[in-house]
Amino acid sequence: MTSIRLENVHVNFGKTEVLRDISLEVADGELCVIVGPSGCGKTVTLRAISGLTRPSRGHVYFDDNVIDHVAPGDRNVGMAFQTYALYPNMTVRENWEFPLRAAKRQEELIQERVGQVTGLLDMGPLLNRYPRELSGGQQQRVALGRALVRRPQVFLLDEPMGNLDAKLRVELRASLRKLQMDLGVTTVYVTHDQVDAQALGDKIVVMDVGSVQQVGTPEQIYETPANLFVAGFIGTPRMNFLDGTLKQENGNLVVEHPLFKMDLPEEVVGRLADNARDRKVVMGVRPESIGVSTHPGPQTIPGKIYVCEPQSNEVIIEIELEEEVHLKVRVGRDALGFEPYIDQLVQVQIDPDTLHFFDSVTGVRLS
Amino acid sequence: MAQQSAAAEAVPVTTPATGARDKWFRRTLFIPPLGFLVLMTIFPLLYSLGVSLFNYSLGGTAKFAGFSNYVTLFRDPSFWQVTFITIRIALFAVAIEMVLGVLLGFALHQKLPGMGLFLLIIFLPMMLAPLVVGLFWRFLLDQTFGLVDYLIASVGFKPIPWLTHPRYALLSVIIVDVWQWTPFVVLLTLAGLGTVPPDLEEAAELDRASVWMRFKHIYWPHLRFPLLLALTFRLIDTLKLFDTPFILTGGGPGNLTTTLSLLGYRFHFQFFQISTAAAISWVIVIIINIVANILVPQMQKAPRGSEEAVDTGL
Repeated sequence: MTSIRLENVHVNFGKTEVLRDISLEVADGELCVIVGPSGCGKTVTLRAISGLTRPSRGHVYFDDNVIDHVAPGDRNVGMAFQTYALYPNMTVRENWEFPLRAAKRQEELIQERVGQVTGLLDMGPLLNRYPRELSGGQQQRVALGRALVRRPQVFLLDEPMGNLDAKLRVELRASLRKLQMDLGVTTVYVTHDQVDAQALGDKIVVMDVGSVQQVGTPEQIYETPANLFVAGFIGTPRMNFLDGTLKQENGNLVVEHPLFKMDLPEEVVGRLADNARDRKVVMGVRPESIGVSTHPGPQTIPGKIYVCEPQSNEVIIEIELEEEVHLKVRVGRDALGFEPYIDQLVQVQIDPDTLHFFDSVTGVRLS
Repeated sequence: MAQQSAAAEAVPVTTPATGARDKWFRRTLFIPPLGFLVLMTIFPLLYSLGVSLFNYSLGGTAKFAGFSNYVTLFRDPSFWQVTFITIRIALFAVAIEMVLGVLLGFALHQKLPGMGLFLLIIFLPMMLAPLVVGLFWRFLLDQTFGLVDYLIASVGFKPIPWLTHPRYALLSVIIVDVWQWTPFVVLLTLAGLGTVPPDLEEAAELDRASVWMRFKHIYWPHLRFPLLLALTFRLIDTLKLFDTPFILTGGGPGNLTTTLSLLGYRFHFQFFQISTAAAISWVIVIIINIVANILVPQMQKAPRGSEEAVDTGL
């Protein structure tokens, strides 16, 4: 079994630096999800692990052995390409048999493995089709299957579900997780979908513009995002950001916004670093930690409903506090207690416990 | 609603041009290329066929001779000798060119610094006029003044009579053709390799496919068509080979490097038997037609997995 470690990896394409000083560690048997917007370098990171892209600086380790000069084929990794890279002149079955035949496996073993993957990916009736006779989602399953049949040391999956429909995606996500845990294969999974990331990862690596923004468990990433980028990227709808100022008032720490002022409870003050006084900050508040009611209460802020997006059992409401200052709120239908309509006047309640504070200049979390 | 439909009507609708005048215009466009074809290809072809059926020699009067020119030719053992020499040159030269060209193509497919200049040098022979090639190889292979024999002698071997000895003359012709035309196969190999998606190569690399598996499954589907094309072109070209033996050996020693084209040339310009020369030309046409009829249908066959997509069921 294998653990993976990247140490200060840089990758340059010509003069463009696409990876800047990437260091991360994936423990043996762990499923690590790399998530980030398009062009953030997540695929290149995967390619650096597979050896298909050579880092210009830094080292890649498998189990504490430097493998910088080990050829991709000798690293024993199974990779599902974002572009599928299926062998076009082979049927689905032949595509899956290919890596096993290349490894000169016994015929019985080949058939057994292909049978397993067929069941897992629900491809039974399509085994004798050629890739061009398959839809995008089906091709993607073939690509995933080809990485799985070989039982390599490491799975490298590049957006393996990007093209699947919602139902299949949820089913396959569960079976993939189950299979990965049963086999105990160290897995790096690249996606731009933070829902996949939250659902699958033992560990999430958030990347942006070629560098790692935060590494942590799904809970850590969600509850204590390291900076404004991570805070805005993880969570749907994205976190609300408001400019504010932290001030000392009558011995209490308060946060001040042109529209409201809030006393911060002891726990929050305790979490903040000592230097977090008298400075401009960005307040972050998750849509799910905002309350809405029709009657004013203590510390409520008046606003007007701007847009309503009903979900199945919840509703996402965008509330206008004043011109250009909007808050998105996600509440359960039952918890809401009234039927929202556009232009309705409402009261917003923000629990100061749930506030995140970021430096207004660097965007780094203050705590 | 009324406003909308009025707006829709106002859009000018282009209708496909029908009408007799237009049809005639389109047909008139065929006349220039058709005329050119008749004048430059079909007429000379039919004329030479006619000539081969007459007893026509320079200065004499033409008498209809039927197939007697062909019969005389087929009874002449030296004609068969020349035919087999031509086929031998074609098969050997093309076989070497194909193998060498594919190997070189794979070698040059790698992206290394300075590859552009290297490619230019590789393709240079193909760009040279056959006359130039023939002349400088004649100098290179000359037994007395040639560089090749000088080098052979300088390492202590006996100089080889490249152009005059029965054993080496044919080899020399083949070497020169290989030298000049291997780049053509390289070019088409590179064209084919350029269409292989890089991620397929990477997938095969990660799957640890053997060299043979990679060639068969990754490269061959992309090389099949260009290589068939190269094979067809090279076979047609070598079957009517003329300039290299003409300049290099003059067809000698004896008839040992005489090709059919060279034989035809001799009948026409040295023996002034124009009808026999025309008959030989037609033999070449027939041989080339047989080759083309075998190879061209192969090219039209679709490779595996590229048939029209069927219902994907999703």
